[in-house]
Amino acid sequence: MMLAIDPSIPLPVYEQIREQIVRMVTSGTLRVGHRLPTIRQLAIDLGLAKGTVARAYDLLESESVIETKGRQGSFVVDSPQATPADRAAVLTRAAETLAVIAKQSGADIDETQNALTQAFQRL
Amino acid sequence: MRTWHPWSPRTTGAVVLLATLAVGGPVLGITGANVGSVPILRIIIAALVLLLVLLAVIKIAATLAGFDPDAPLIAARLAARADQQDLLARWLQRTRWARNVGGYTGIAWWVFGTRGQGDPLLFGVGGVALGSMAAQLHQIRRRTGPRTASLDPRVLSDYLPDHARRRMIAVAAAASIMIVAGLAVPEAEPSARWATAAIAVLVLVHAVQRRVAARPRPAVTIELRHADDLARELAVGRGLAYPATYLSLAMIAHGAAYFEPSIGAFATAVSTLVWLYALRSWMQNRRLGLDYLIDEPQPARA
Repeated sequence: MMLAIDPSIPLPVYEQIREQIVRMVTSGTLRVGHRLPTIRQLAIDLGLAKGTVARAYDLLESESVIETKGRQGSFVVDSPQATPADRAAVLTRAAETLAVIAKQSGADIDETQNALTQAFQRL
Repeated sequence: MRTWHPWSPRTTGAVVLLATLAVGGPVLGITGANVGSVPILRIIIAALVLLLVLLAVIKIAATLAGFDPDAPLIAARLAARADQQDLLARWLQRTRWARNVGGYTGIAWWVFGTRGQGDPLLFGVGGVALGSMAAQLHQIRRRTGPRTASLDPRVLSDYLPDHARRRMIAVAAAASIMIVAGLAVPEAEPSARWATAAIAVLVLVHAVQRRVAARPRPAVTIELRHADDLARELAVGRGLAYPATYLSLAMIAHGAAYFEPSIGAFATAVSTLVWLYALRSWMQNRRLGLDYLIDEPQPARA
């Protein structure tokens, strides 16, 4: 499981982290009981201040998506699962964004699909 | 496969030439100053000595220049895929270079800095241990654009092999006992200082090991993640735990010698045995102890 953040987009970085973890938990990609990396590790890996990651974790905890058990770390808790329709809606939104960028760049559908396939395989 | 070079070939050539002149010049000056008046045997011996000096200097210079043709061979035995081998080979070259530089610097300090006073093993292993720690401070440069991270936690216990952990604990326990014994026996008081230094080495290395486990890793393919995990495991175990253990053992060996007035030849025997064990282990581990893999069939661990 991975996170990707882009500091150049207008959404705050802590919100990007929160949103992606919520998406992975509600889709079942991150299962109940999964231990998340420490705030320090995630901050180092993403090149962020610890406070930024801590803010995202605090929000997730206040929304009961994760719980922190002292020094044991932070764990995913039971959350309402997303339906297939929810997932389709998320994918449609992302596909529309990709299609817009591809058309603006002059890429055809094969080139776009190749790029998507390669990105998938890299992860 | 990309290679890793700390020095350019031009710098290496200049170092070889300067070192050869520095070392070979005095040798010729001593043995062959008046070629017309000395027997031909002396000239031949001088030429052989110069050749040996030149070979030794070339070997050291090549090592310092990062020439490590075995690293890709070892990497090919550790991993199956080309991208994994690339990552591991660069890690091996960088790590072994830093260890060699540390080891040579330690020995050079012993020769020129202390004029041969003290224990060369302490300087040699100490240099290797410092070089190992310096090598593990290396971090991958962050690329521009979106940043990625895995959501799997990394902790030191995932990487530190059990046998290496047990050895570190055993050496720390032995050093603790020596501190107590050294404080109890007035004439053996310096042994407590040596044992404290041994524990300090282990604590420092433990801190670097934790840093290795936590150092950044972008989200990469599962194959590269396995290769990176293997590099971390080798760094934490063979790279750091081993030289720290041997350096601490060499310090304990020195400390044990101070008990000779109290318990006689037994202290000397223990001191000598521990020192010899540390020396043997250092010789095995100075190049990370992975050269045996070169002759093995492809096991592909990563």
